[in-house]
Amino acid sequence: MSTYDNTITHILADLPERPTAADYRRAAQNLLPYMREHVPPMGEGDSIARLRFLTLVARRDLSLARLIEGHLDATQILREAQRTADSTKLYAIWASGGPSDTTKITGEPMAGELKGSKNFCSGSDIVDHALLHVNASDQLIELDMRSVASRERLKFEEGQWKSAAFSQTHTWTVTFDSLPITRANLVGECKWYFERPGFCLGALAPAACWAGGAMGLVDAVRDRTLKDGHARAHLGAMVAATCSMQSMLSWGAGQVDADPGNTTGNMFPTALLVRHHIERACTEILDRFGRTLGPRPYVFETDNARRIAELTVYIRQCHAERDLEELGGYLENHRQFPSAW
Amino acid sequence: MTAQKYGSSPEFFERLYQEAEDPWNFRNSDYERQRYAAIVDNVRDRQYRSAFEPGCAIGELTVLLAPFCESLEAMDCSLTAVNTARHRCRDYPQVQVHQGALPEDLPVRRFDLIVFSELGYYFNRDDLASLVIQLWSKLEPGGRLIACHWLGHSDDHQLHGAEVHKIMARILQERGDLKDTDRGYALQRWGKGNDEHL
Repeated sequence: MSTYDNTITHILADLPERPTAADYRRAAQNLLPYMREHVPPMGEGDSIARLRFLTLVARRDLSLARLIEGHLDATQILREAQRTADSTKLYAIWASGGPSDTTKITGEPMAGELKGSKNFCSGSDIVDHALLHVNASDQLIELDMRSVASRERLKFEEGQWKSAAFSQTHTWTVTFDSLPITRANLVGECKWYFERPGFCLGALAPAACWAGGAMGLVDAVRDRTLKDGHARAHLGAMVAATCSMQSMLSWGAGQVDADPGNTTGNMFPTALLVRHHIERACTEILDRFGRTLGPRPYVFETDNARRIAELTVYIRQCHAERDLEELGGYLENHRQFPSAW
Repeated sequence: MTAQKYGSSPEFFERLYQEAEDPWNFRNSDYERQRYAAIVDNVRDRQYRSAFEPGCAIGELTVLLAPFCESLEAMDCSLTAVNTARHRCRDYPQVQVHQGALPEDLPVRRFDLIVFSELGYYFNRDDLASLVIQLWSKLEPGGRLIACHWLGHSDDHQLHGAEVHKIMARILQERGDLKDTDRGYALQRWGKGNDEHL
């Protein structure tokens, strides 16, 4: 392990066995100096270091990785928009869409009001700043969660989240009661959020977290005595799966560094390919983990029970067959993608 | 003293303390006494539940910090220095002095005061950066990190004192609430934000 890995390990060692939202906030804040110092941006030549950092955090704790991934994504988006992020604050990105998303800005953008609700706001009362994708106008805005207006006009609905997975990252539904919005809140033009090249680059980051979560499960298998040949066979297959995930992340990072502006148009299918592969590898590892160790870790082990539950939820961030269909459609029309060896 | 490019190994310090109980004249030098007084002036406005002083040497600063701490963990890599420091602090049962080096012996628990004095020069840039990140993570919300380093030149230093403070300021990016570089040493203090909303 390098000095840098040791530093992360030391910071993460502080997390208690059952971390609360306050523990996660503190751990994420403690990682801020490390991220400023050692985690490079996406697409500037060392993307793999960024993905590897996320993998290391996720290997220790998926809830923390979820918060950190959002922070890195949000600060990268601000960098692309040439806005300054306060490097001592925690950021989140809330961009989940779907029919339940009723966010809209009424009135003029110069003096409008934000109304409606958004699901899946990770770290909702944990972060200091949030980037919010306003569904109705396809507009990204930045919110200071600590401002007086935010405190008065934001409502958190915690009751909808039923799962034990990610329960302490407070992935709540946030309702906006006519929060004043000015031009200063707007990040990029309408449609910018999804159309910018960085969107495809950022799509690799959650996959790095999924991979880290699965590696945490494999660590748990390797920490104990294998009881028979079946266990050894499963371990072989699981470690093979982690190696192929690492290779896919390296490949994806290399593609991103070679074409950060997405001039080829290949970046989104590249991300879909990597994400699909990692989602499959994680599913295989989840399956083999259970077949190797039986029901005990699911019910008797705090950390593994939570890791299983969180990885199962987290990989659902991919859109399964819809993503594959999009990938297949691209392949149909682009015979040269992915480039031959 | 044996010629050695960088003296930062525990053996180097142990040899120094075996040759002379107070090799840097911490007890009697006007400069050191004034420097200690300046550090104490900047911690004395409150009490600390749990303080940490790595690189405590023979305990001359430790004994001045002790009255403001409910518990004070002091550490030095030289066993001879540790024994001298223990004796120096014998009237303060809240002081624990033990042998250890950074970063490997960084305590697991958290502190609300960390005094980082005359220590940063003995690391290279990367190791100092990692160490500062780790020290900061050991600080409770509302806690303080105070750093003080001589601004002269010494052959056994890997970094100049000014460079140590520059690296710390770059990494922490929190606004230090104190900066003093006019008396032959740099003295800086950083406070970790209080977090009352969760």
